[in-house]
Amino acid sequence: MASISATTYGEGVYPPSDDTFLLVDALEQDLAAFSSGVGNESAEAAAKKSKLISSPLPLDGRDVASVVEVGSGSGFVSASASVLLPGAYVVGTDLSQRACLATRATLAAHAESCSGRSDVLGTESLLGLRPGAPFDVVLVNPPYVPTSSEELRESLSTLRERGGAAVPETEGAAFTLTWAGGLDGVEMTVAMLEAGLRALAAAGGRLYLIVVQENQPEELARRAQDVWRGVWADRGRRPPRLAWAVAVQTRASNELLSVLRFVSTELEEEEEAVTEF
Amino acid sequence: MKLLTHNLLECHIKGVTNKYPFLVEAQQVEQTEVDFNPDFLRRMYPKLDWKAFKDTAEGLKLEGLPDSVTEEMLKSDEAFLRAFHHILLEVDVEEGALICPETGRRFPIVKGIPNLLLNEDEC
Repeated sequence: MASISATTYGEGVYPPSDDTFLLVDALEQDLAAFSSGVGNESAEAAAKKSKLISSPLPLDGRDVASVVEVGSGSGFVSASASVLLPGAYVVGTDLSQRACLATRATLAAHAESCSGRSDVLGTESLLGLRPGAPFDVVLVNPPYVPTSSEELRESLSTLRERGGAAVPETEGAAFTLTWAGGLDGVEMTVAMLEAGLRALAAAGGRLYLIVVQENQPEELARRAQDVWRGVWADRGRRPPRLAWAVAVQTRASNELLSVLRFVSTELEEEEEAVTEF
Repeated sequence: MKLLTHNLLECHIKGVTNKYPFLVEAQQVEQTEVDFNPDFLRRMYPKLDWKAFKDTAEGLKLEGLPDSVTEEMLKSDEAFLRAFHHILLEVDVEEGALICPETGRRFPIVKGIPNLLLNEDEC
């Protein structure tokens, strides 16, 4: 885990927890694998193995210019990414103003070890980032607990009505949104995953996503492939392969937590428009 | 909010077509020192909309950016790289607003954080 010592959180903000730490572990493991030169197989080769065996996929930190975290909450993950990747620009987004303030405070508390190339954006998922806003690494930290759709929708409406405001009336809704994932716990995950895949820089980009077993990771991965094809069809281009695997896994209290890693595996060499696939 | 972040944002109100770039209304601007890293600038340059960047900078009375950038400048023009670095990363809009170029809708920037959350009827 990156040495994040002063994390800010409070009313209505999800405190750094096992899932938060696991997301950082996944990134750190891949960076360490590059530094030590172990596990230097291609994403393609890694993807051909069983999907559910977790293993590192080396990541050269020098290749990472930009990182976005969706649902940055306390800011633990964004600040860790900024410390682990001092050359990169890191953006954290969250729909709760309280969470945004917490993210900013946590980034500021580590200003000396972060490069200062960071920002926080109050929004839902990645809405408001222009299409093609390029991110080499996307970290998705969604609410994943299965709930009813209504529970999720009501909290979302409350927060939208108040512009995400950090006022006492929105605390309950803001906190519900830190964990309520809707049906199968994936309603928010699917939206965030779709936005995240759109934001991936075309070549060599990767996305890390926290899931629990109830989210049905294999089904999510299948949906990700559909989204990926759609993104590239919109651009009139043949899609690079999207490989996925479990990067790290842990059992925490009653949850089986995993971080899924999605990697765009081909270099962007076909610039010409493709009319049929 | 850094101008780098501004460069990546657009208005996402449903149905809006003239959505980029946001006009910046700045009430309070601060300067923060950020490590100078020319490699970072070379990597980010192709991802930016240079015209939007330069226009926004000028709107904030930040001068010194050229109309266009050559490979040579990115490679070895130290004065250019310093100016680019400063305006891209060291200027923070702390209080103000982002204004949609089509609808005039104001999105507040409070404590350096732009809030782009839409109302239900804008989604």
